[in-house]
Amino acid sequence: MTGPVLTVRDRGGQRVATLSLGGLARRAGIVGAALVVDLAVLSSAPGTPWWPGIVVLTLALVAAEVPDSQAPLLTLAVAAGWWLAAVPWPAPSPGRVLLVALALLVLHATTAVAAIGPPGRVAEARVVRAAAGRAALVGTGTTGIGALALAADGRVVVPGAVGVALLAVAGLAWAATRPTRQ
Amino acid sequence: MSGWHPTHAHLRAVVAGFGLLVAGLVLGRVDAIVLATPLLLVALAGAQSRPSVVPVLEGPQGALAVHEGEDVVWSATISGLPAGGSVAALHPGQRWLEVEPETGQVVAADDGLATTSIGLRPTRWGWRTLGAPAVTGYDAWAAWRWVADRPQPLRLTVLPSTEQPDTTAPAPHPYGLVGQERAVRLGEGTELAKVRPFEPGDRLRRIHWPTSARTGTLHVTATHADEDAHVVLLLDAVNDVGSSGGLVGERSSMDLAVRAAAVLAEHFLRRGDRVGLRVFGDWRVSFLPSSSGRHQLRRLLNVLSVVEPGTARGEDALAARQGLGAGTLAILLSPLVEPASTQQVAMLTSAGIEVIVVDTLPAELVTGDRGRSPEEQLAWRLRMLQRRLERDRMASLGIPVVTWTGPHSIDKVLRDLARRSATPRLVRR
Repeated sequence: MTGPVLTVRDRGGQRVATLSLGGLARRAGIVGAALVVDLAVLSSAPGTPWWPGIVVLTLALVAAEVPDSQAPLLTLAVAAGWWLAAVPWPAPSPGRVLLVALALLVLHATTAVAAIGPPGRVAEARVVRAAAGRAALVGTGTTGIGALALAADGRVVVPGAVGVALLAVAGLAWAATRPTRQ
Repeated sequence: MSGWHPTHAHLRAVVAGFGLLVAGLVLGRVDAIVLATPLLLVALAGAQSRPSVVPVLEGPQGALAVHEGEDVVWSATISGLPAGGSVAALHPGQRWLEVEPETGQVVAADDGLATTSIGLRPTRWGWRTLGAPAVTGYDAWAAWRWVADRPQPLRLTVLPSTEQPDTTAPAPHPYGLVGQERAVRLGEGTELAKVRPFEPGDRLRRIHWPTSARTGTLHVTATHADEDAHVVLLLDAVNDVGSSGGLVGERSSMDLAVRAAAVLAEHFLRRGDRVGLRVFGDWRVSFLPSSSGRHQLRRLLNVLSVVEPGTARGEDALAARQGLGAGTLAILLSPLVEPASTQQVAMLTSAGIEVIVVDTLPAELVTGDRGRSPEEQLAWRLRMLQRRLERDRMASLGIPVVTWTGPHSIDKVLRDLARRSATPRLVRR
């Protein structure tokens, strides 16, 4: 993303850090998503300890700095794990479940875009727009599927759901190991 | 490396998505499945969009010659990218090379084709091999990454800048056959010398009719011959004093010397003079024979761009005399830190060679302290005092010493030398 760029250099003229609007927006997206998860958990389970929220925020900060690593996965795992551990089911507000799901999507999508290219790189606006469009598409799908699942909870038991999930895993593994044509 | 590989983002979507799905199924919690949904959707979309064609990178190769401060664009085209894909490119920077954008760039692919362009701007003369750029391709979901084989790095010959002086001063000793300088003797030329009586053999077009009509006898115009001068640039590369920040930053003594040599070479060659170069203190370059023309300028600039100061020491001070004769204009570009440079000037002058000394020590080093310890600073101050004495002594012997402050520095000295060259002198042979 283009825009004003502030470059910090040492006395020898070597670049130490680069701050840009795009970089700040990326960091805000990642940390903001983690903050939404924190607030959703704390408001859904008022008696829960608050320190896991600090851990999630810290991991989000690390993920924002090193998006092309396992730090975002750890952030997602800790955030989702905290939700499952702290919030009893059925959740007091189904809307918060959807909110957390969308926050996890934002965290994932933002770190995925941030991991394209070297840190601090200048990205064309249409690359960012296309990624945002795809994330919005997934978000819409998530809202629909999630709303359906939450509405159907306790009424219908889907027969063979485990089998469908395992088949999906197998299908994904097959797709991931297809040989690349040289 | 070739082929597409899954990114951390794809692995994250797969692991977290299916992990939450399994947890939800095992624990019987629908909220876990809802949390897994976006990640699963992204994972499935990423798996589906796995590219099957390996992209091809076409980038510039080989060598380029540019002047310092000129912009060069490194551009590469990547074909065979998946729809909606993108390319990230990063050109490594190095000292005296500005890269824009220096943090790399990400461009979108149109119809499987992406072009990335990165601006490069060398800020100091020299010969250098740039770093190999890194180019990486991504699919639309940033789930798959292709890392291109490192393209061949560019080799740059950065020629010194040649800002031209606005000088009309003639060179002091023209004696060749062609050129723009006014010779001492009369001959075929354009500049009027005198009007004299007609002699057998004179061309009719030389008849000066007004004088002939007034005096009643035929008179003709006599002109000075147009001739060239022989200029030799003597570059003292024994020491590079000071640090170089490139074209607009701090300047070392070699920066000043090389740029001054380039400016002077272009100035004299444009006038039709013959210019040669002798470098002291560099093991690779020592001598470029005098010649004229544009090719000689290119040769000179090439030689100047590969000068590595301080790579050869202990050279015979008499070497400067080789190939130089009386009437040659020798321009010594030196920071005058080595006493041997003063010795060379004395020898050249005693051989009847006109010498101009161009002092290339940056002004801030003459007045400032150099060295970390008080002893080093004291030693530098002492050397500067000694250097001032040597400069004064040369000036008292009639050897012009000019502090290089830009292309105009040499103008006054050339005029003085041209005037002085008409007077007879006693020299030792």
